[in-house]
Amino acid sequence: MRVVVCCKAVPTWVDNLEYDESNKKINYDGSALVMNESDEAAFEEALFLKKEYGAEVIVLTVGGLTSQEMLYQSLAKGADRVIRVSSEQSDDAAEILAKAIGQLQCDLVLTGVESSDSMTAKTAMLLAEELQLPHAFVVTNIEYDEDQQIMKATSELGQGQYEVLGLPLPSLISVQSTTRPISQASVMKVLQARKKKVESVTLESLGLNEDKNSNAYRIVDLFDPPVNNSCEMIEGNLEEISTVLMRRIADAAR
Amino acid sequence: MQPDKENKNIFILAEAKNGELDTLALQMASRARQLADEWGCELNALILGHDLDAPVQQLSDKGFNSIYVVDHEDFEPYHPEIYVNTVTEFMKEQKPSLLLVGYTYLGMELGPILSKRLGTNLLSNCVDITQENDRLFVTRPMFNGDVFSKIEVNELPLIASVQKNYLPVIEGSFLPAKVIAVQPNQQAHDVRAKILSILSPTIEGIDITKADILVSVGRGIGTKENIELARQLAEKLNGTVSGSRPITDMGWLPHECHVGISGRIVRPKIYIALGISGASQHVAGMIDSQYIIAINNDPNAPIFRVADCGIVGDIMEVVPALLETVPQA
Repeated sequence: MRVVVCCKAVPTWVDNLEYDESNKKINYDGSALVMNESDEAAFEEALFLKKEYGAEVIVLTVGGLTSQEMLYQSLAKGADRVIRVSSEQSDDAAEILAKAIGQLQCDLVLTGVESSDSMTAKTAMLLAEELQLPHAFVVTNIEYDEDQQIMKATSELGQGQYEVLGLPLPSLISVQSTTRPISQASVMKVLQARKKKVESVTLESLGLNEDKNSNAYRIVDLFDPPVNNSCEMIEGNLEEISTVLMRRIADAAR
Repeated sequence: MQPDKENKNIFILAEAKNGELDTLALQMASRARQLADEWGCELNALILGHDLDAPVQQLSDKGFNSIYVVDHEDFEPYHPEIYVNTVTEFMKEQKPSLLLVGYTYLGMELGPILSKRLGTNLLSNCVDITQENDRLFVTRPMFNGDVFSKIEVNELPLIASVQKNYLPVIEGSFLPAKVIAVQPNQQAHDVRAKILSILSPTIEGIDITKADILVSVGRGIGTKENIELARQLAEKLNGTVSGSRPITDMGWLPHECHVGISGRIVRPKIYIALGISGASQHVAGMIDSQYIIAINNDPNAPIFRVADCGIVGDIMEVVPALLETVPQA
């Protein structure tokens, strides 16, 4: 079984955001990039399939050189191969991923649900549609049924309800979270991983090009989210804070 | 921007579950009605599910021209492919210039697929959609909600998915909508995935929805051991301990204690959020609490935007101090 996990490297914090109109790109200062949270959950499910069923795990990303560290971390945690499609554009990620996956002959595609930077939650389902694969969305657990050769994906319905979907292979599963413990890579493993190969793919080799700027919409402003002025901020030393807070609790409990 | 007067048509996709309307539909309806008035066009709704009489009744006087209803037992439980296929076929006929769906699990799943199949642009996770003079804008969060981006829409048709609890409901008096029953398309049932089972929440022992006071912990609590502090506070206040998703995912609290859109929706008298950043999925599960207290060391945490009272500080200092001031019962 070959599993491709689509992962995005994202910053944990950003500052000084600015929109670069001519390149249709948001520039910012930020942290080093790490694997997006729900992608990490998807990767963990892939490592589970590797451990239980001997799956081959390939981590695939679209990004610049700053995404490379995430790939070394993935190798250190147990990925068999890592591939980076070199591109700074993220709006067409699904199309790029689909082309790259098309060259890989895999049985299962895993993704996260939403990336913390662009927050669109659209790549997974666009990718399923591009690849014409059956899918499951907002999944919290994956099991493989060897007898029936189907993936059993536990998908959230909301309000504590779940449904288990049976998917034939190949298929795509978009993972929301996992109850499996997140793997940690030792420093030694990471150092070893840095000597391994990151396969690099260009957009041209996939038959795509970088400037596909759509004029359908454009960012006109970036601003801080509105502040809730009705939130009473309690300040002071610990004693003052807790006295006021206790009074508020007593009032509200009435 | 205004669509051709000839092709005017706004749709919203309303959601209902277990016979209950998701109130996001009412929020979308209010804004969509304003847009329809400015564009001088029709506003319609589509709703799919089973046992939809009550939800349709609730929608009937909210300013829609028509409400299209696909009421069939095959829509409960939710089968993503049947649902998406049915909506696709319907929208291919109706060709809305603007379609609003929820930024809900269902809308997040359906929106991209629909946009691909209809060849329509998609802007997801919108917290606002406005018409200013002749221009159409949406606003959406980025970077964990640290920043909002305002986007001008230059091209219709558009599918926009809308986050819950951002657009206000505006009361108005409208003529009753025409209710049109739609037969589900049998081809929509040609599916690849099978529903194997449904897992419903088991409520044994702890029912956080019944608590008057919830002391809720998030990742900011730091360690599993620190939850003991929340437990002490809950005990002294006669409350119950609950948590955000990461806490229950890590097994620090049982799953029935999970507050959020995918866990339990709670409405206590007092909700005390300890180290909870306030992701939208969490907020949707507790926004209707009567009084919200947030304690967090990050002054920019989104939780302060919904809180009635906030403290920027270290939980491990504030909570022990608070415990000392709780009067002895």
